Amino acid sequence: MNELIRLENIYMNFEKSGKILEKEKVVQVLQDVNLTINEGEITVFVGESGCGKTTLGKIVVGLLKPSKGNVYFKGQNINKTLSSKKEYKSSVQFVQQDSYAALNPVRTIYQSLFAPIKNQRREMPKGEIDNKINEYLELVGLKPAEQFLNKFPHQLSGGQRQRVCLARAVSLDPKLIVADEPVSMIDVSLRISILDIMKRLNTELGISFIYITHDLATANYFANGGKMCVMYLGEIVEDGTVQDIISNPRHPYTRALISAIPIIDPDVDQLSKEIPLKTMEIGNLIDRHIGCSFYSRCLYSKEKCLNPVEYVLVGNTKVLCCNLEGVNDEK
Amino acid sequence: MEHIVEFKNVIVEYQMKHYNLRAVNDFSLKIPRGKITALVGESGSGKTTLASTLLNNVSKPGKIVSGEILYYGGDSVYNILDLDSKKLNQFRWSKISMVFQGAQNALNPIMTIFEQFYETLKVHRHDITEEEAEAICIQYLELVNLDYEKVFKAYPHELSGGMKQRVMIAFSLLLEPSLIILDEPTTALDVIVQDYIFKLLKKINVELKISMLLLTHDISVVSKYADYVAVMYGGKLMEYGSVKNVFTQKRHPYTKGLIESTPSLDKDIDSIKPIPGNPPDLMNMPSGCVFHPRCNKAFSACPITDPKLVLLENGNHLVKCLLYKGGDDNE
Ligand SMILES: Nc1ncnc2c1ncn2[C@@H]1O[C@H](COP(=O)(O)OP(=O)(O)OP(=O)(O)O)[C@@H](O)[C@H]1O
Ligand SMILES: Nc1ncnc2c1ncn2[C@@H]1O[C@H](COP(=O)(O)OP(=O)(O)OP(=O)(O)O)[C@@H](O)[C@H]1O
Ligand SMILES: [Mg+2]
Ligand SMILES: [Mg+2]
Repeated sequence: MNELIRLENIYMNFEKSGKILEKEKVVQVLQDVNLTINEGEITVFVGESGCGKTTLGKIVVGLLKPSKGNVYFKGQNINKTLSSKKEYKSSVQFVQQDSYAALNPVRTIYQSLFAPIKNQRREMPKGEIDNKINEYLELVGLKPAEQFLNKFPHQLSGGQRQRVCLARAVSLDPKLIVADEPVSMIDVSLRISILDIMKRLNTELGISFIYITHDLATANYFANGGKMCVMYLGEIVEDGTVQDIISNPRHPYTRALISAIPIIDPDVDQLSKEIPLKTMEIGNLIDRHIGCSFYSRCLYSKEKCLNPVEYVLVGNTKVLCCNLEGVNDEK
Repeated sequence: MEHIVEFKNVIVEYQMKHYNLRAVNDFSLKIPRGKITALVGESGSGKTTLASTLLNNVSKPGKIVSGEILYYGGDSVYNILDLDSKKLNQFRWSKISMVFQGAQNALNPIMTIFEQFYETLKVHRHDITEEEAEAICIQYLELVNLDYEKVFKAYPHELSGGMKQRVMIAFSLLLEPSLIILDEPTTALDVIVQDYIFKLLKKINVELKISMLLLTHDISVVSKYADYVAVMYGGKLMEYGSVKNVFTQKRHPYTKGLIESTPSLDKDIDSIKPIPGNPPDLMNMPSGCVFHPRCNKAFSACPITDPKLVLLENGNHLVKCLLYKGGDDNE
């Protein structure tokens, strides 16, 4: 497989004016992230709310510039070769998590879809663009398209907005789409249809996808055969194939996550089930300590976990955990 | 059973330039007091529109064309639509609060989280001091498992999707209302935080007897946390009953399709299929039963007769489908 995008030692910090804390603080959101996206590949990002998935997705598509680290597009550092930066920009699309903010409120759906296509393909006649817009709206299940063209974003339901955003991304013929929770507000039946469409775009057109989600069941459905990165506090703690990770999670965080997935069975008392974590207390991004960032919540943490952690390879899965023997013993 | 609100033949239309779109079509239902009732249904089926009638704030150009929305206060019953704007302002947040879909959208981008809490508190408690407000704000942020030091003085853009959702949940609890409407409250939360939040909501529900109306697409969440479930399709109520009855018996073919198309980790991927066909075109509704064009059980009468809601023999279970005649269970 050909490499499309590679991230190397990415760090992302946000400045935070600490009014309560009385001093300037830096929020360290991403910590030494390394990632390769190949052509035609599907990668899933899962992980805790606030762990940096959206931030990482934005770095992949160039909407954010990392504080430290390099981004390569087809092997070229995008900040060193101008021509590759241009090609890169037109090859990646981002479907925002917040579909409410993604669409300009004073523009109709038609205008929101028309402008970016026109921008990219100046020579394309209006009629052709119009056809394209209709085609893509119907592709994402917004049928009949005419009913939506002249509406404003606030006149659409949550799920309809999400689909407009997806249609817009697809209409620009990208090589990679980073889709941040693209189907979270859509009913399950339609979710499956949209994921099927994304799968088709992947297999027929070879578009790569990064699917950011909290829904492991849809991740398994959409990306079965693809890769998965499990993130915790700005680090990739487990990196392997979707199948391996879901059927045999290694990192204690991944295990807790998978055990918390609700199931459809009103006869099972799921409420009294405890999640295997020491505490719900979230870790701190401001004063990071050396050593494992999951330490305080991990059921298996030992003193040695306060030393710097290294990835270990288990089968084909990379796991950021220094006490895997401990985890496995107590399994 | 006691009820908290009742929808009586509610019809809501969006009156557009060239057509009227009927988003809620003759909807009647009593919502039980002190319970968690889920409202599920297709994207665009009218869930958000219906919920917003409870605060009489259907978005423009929507209009409640007819019907009543009764609120059962301790000793008085009144129609929410009869409240004047001053009474309505007092009513919102203190009696019924709403966590809006796309919480991102509901927060003011140019105010810090604390300023927004303070403002809401001041509307209802004029003499509250900043210190008092601060203490309350911190208490509620901690309740939803946020690191208050980080969130308190933050602007919305500094927070992740899931952090904003939790801020909105904290907001909705602030004045301890009798009914909380949660519109897709956990779409940006990982399953561990989601579980924490729902267990918390359940505790609040049980201890403070606060009723909840949960709008969601997440069928497994409904199965795990809700007591009752209403299923909507094309602006109409299709099925209603206890979660246990509805999930184990799945009387309406639409409900059945919805539950069976839900992906889960233990299902074979190839067995997951969307419901065939397209969502109804609200401007050009099918005759008879709105679901008949997509229904695998449809027979000759379905395109002609719009079924009545019938009460099944097991008590509190309503179904709108010609397969059922009510009284006893004659499929
Ligand atoms: N502009 C910003 N300024 C300061 N902090 C920020 C900014 N953007 C993001 N953050 C912080 O970075 C962290 C990661 O945010 P991000 O949106 O990437 O999380 P996420 O994994 O996508 O979460 P979710 O699942 O809730 O959407 C959060 O702690 C957030 O508060
Ligand atoms: N302000 C508006 N103007 C015109 N049409 C609207 C407006 N708001 C909603 N609609 C339409 O009314 C229908 C119902 O929308 P609603 O938001 O109630 O659906 P929903 O069931 O909440 O969907 P979702 O699950 O996607 O959030 C949709 O077809 C939508 O396009
Ligand atoms: Mg995010
Ligand atoms: Mg909605």
